[in-house]
Amino acid sequence: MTFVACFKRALVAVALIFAQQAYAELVIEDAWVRAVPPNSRTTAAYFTVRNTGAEEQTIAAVRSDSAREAEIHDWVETAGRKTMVRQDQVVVPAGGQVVLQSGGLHMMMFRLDPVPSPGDKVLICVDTEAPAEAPAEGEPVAESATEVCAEATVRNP
Amino acid sequence: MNVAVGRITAIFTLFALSLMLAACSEPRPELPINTRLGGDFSMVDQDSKPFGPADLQGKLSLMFFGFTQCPDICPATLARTVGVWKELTEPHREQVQVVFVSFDPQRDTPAYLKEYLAFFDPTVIGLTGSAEQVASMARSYGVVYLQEDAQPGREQDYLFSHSDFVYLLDRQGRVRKLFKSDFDGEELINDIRSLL
Repeated sequence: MTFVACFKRALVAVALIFAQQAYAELVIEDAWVRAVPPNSRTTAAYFTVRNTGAEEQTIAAVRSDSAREAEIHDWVETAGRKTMVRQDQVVVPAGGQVVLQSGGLHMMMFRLDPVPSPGDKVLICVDTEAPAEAPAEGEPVAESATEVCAEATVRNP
Repeated sequence: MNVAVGRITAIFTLFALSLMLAACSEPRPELPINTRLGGDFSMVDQDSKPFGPADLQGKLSLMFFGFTQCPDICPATLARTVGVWKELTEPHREQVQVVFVSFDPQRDTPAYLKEYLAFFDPTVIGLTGSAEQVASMARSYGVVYLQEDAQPGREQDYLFSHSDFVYLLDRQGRVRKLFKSDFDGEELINDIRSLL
C-alpha cells in the first residue's frame, strides 16, 4: 500500500469514527417483528427510536438482515380507505423519540429471506444516510458506517 | 351524627346497587340487520372448492377483507379476530367461523391462502376468485380497495389501499355489525354471544 492510499484510508477511518459518534445519539428500543406465516413475503417491525443528542436527527434508510428490502411507511386514511405511504425521511427531534407501532409508522420488511419464526432474533438498523445506490438484484443491502442497529424479537403481538 | 352519616351512606349504596342491578337485567338491544350490505357472490375457498352465500348459513361469521402481502393491518386484524374466536367457549367456537377474503387473487391463490391461514388457525376459511368475482363480492360488502403502483423494478411488491372493517354476520349470512380493525375485543365477543 502506498503512503497516499494509507493516508486516505486513515482519513476515512477517522471520518467514520466521527460519523458513528454523531449517529450513536440514536437508540433503538423495544424492537419486535410481527410473526407471520412461513410462506409470507412481508412483515413489519416496530420499535422506538430515541434521540439522546441535542440536535435533530433524520432517518433516511432502514434495513434488516431478514429482508431484501425495508422501508418506513405510515398509514393515511382518506375516504374510508387506508393507504400505506412510504416515508423517505423520518425526523427524530433532539431529546425526543419516534415510535413505530402497528396502525401507524412502521418498518416494512419486503421479500423476507429467510422468513423468521417466532422467538427468532432479527437485526434491524436505522441510518441517517440513504445508500448511494440500491444493491444489485439478489444482493443484500450493505452495512453502513452511520447506521444504528438492534436485535428485534419475532413474536405474535 | 356518625349514625346519620352511616344511614345516608347505606341508602346511597343501596340506591347505586339497585341501579346497577337494573342495568344488568336490561335486555341487550338486538343488533340491526344491515340490508344494504351483502348478497350473492361466487368465490372459491382455500381448497379450491366453490364457496357462495349458502356456505355462510348455519354459523356466525367474522369476515375480513385483505391481502396476505399486507405487513401490518391485515395480519394484525386477522390475529386479533382469531384471538377473539379462541376466547369463546368450545361449543360457541363451533358456531362461529372466521372468513378471510383476499382482494389479491393474483398472489393469493387457494393453495397459498391455505398455507398462510393455517398459521393463524387451520379452521380459518380463505376466499379468493377471479378479479371480477373478487370485485363483485367486495362491492356487495361495500369494501373499497385499490392496487397501488409499485416501485420500478419491484413490481411484485405492490400494495393495496383498502377499507379495514371486520363484518359480523349472523347464521343467515346477514351483516349485523361492522367493526373497525382496532375493534374492542370485549364488544365483539358480547355481540357474538348476542347472536348465538
